[in-house]
Amino acid sequence: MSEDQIDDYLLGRLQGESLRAFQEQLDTDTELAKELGIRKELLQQIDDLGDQQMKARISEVHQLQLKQMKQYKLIQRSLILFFLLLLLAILGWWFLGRAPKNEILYQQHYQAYALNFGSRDQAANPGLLSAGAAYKQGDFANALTLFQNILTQAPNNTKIRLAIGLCQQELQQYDQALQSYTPLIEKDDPLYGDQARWYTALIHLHQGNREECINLLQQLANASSADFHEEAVELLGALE
Amino acid sequence: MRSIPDADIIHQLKSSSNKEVDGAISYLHQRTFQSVWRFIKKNSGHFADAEDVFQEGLLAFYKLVRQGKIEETVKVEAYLFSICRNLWLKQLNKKKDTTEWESVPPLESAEDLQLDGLLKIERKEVLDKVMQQLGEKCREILIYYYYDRMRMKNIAELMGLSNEQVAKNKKSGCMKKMRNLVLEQPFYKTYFGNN
Repeated sequence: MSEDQIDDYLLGRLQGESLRAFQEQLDTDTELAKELGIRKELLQQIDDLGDQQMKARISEVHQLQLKQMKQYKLIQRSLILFFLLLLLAILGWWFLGRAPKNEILYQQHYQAYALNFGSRDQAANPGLLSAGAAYKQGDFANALTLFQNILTQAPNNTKIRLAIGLCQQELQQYDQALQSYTPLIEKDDPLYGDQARWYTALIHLHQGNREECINLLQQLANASSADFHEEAVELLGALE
Repeated sequence: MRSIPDADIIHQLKSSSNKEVDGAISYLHQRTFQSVWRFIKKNSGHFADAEDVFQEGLLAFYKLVRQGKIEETVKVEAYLFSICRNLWLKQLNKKKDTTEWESVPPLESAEDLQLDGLLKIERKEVLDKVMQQLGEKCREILIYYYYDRMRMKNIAELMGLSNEQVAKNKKSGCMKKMRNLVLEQPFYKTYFGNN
């Protein structure tokens, strides 16, 4: 039996008649059986060595792939982080870009209301003299306390209510100021309703509530005889 | 990642070029390793288990391809995954059996097992020594022919031999040398006698 035939048998290349003939000879030929045993042993060793070498190559590829996967994940995470930061920057720019516009418009259009109390008012409420004086001097905290005291004695006095709102607005107590103005707007106060609308509109502008601001300004702009009519028209133009 | 047809992957794995084989291995790694890792994680394994099983599976797949036992029409990713899956399930069953039967004494005596273990170690040492004595070129040609199942023509090209007959003669010479070296070892003389 040739070396090639033994190789072919061990490598599974013998088929059909050749295979049958080989097996028949193997049953009777002890020398062939012995040679086959030796060859099997040699091939097993070659196979083990081949496995070792191939495992080393596979392991090398595996390590390289893991490294690439890590790099890919790092790039992926960096990109996500970059886009998040970009999004934050855009949002920040949008918010910061918006806020100053409202703030600037508020500063441009806000002016402290000139409160005047005549002798009739002062006769009815003697405390108004000192409250009015504090307001004129810009001592709004003191004026607020004095006006609030007067309001307890004259709860239906809408001018005092307006004065309280004005003091609160000056003191940047915007939510309280809105509460003070609201009854004047709701009751459509004939004397101080327009003032309340104007200053409420300005607070809404300051707080970024453009819709509420525009709504109130439009009420003033639609009534040509309203106080702050011209200011409202101008501010509406700036807002639109 | 660009998809490569299955037949091309099989073709690359059968190639005599290391670059092509490594390319196919990288591709299979990219396409299959994550699935194997997910499967093993789901079945109480760790990342190190997935690494071992995947590499073992890939080796088995490579050998099947080289031995011509895998058709070019096979779905390579599914086939490789199923090899890895079976390897892991086998390991799990083995672990389970070990836990269940650890209190039962083995059928073979401890002495027999010890002797068997010693023989294996001795055989391994002897063959390692033989492979060292064989020389690099001989090891190379024998692995190309018997392990990688390369054609003599390709072996001749790879090793810079003039033609396939020269390669064939070289292979026969190396096999003969290996055979003689093995049979010189006292360990094998008792098995095969003097030849």
